[in-house]
Amino acid sequence: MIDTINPTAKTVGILLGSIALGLTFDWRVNLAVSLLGLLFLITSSRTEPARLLKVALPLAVISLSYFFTGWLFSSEGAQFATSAGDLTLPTGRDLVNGLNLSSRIFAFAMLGISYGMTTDSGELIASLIQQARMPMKMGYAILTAVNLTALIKTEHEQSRLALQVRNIPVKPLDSKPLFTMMIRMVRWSERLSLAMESKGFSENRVMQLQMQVRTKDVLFAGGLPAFIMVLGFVLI
Amino acid sequence: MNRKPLSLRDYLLMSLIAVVFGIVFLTAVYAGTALTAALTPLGLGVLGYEPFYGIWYSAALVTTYMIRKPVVGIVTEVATALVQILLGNMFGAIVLISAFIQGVGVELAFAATKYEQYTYKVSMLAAVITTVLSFIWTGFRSNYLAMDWRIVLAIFVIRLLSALFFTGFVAKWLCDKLDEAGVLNHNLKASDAVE
Repeated sequence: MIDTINPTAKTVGILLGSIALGLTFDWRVNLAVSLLGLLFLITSSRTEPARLLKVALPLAVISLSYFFTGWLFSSEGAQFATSAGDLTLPTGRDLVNGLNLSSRIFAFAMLGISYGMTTDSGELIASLIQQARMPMKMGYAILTAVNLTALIKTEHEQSRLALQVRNIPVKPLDSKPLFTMMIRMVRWSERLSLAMESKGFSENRVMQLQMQVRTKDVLFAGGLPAFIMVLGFVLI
Repeated sequence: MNRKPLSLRDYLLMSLIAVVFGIVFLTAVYAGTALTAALTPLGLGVLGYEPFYGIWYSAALVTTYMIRKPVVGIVTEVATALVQILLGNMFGAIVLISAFIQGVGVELAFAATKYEQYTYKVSMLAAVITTVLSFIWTGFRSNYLAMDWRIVLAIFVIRLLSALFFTGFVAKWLCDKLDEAGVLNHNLKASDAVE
């Protein structure tokens, strides 16, 4: 369903949709947006259930934390964030406030997850270069970094080990391996740029992957934020 | 001010530094999640990630110090966000807005000195501006108006302290050490970067 949407149009739609969601303050809108995000995810062939579950755990913790904060530490101004109908609920205004806050964070994350998990990295960069006028150098630099992530993680581990074998203690957020890594990244950036340019890399590079903007992409970019606005300000 | 356009090397350095800080930040995310879980029953879970915010702002400060060209802070933060999205960040596209705002915060501090001063005073100013701008944005996103003002104040104070420590102090200190090690090839001497 969402896999075939042009990545730039998808970015615009999700960004504007998120801003529209930020302007609404009702748990029912948040619930509808969360369900929409879930629909995007279950209809996508790119969704990996194991990865989705891995992301869901911290999301559940964050969402629950906002619920408790909204419930136990509700502001007087919270009444502006709930509709008049909510005030009559027997569960109390603070409980609804907690529900509003937790579902809000959950809805933002569902939109984000449905974007992140259904977008191919190569297509996103190609689309940003072709449709959003991102500099070719920036696009390929980002792709290079993404593809080198596993190697950078290994190098970081080795930096920590190198210090430990010399009997130098390394704490979880220690700056010593970070310092080593930054020196390596300066060197890598110099060597990689030399290697890429010697292979003929330039802004005039022709991309094999050509991304197109079709009517359905435009409809998605405008339709998603419009749907959330209508839901938040007209229907609910 | 160095007005030369950003080169492929600059973009690669920004993206690679973004991944390195992403790895460090991932450690902080685990710690933040644990802290959030522990504080949730007390209703203080929203403070769980706040002590680590400064790490996230640091990437822009480090690359601006290293490359010393305008808009490096913004480009680094946007590149960082794109790398995070491609690696599966749970908030997806919306981190682009957060990243842009954080980049602007760092950029404003250095732009005020016309990109000529790289002192602790400027790095601390960058930490303060970035905290204020990101606080306004997360306030909108998380609807701080619905929370008790004391919680909101605690969010701001902890985030500010984190930014002052990680962005204002640690990141600047690391950059000075890199400069002393002779790995930076920008057009200023190491002595110019020391107050």
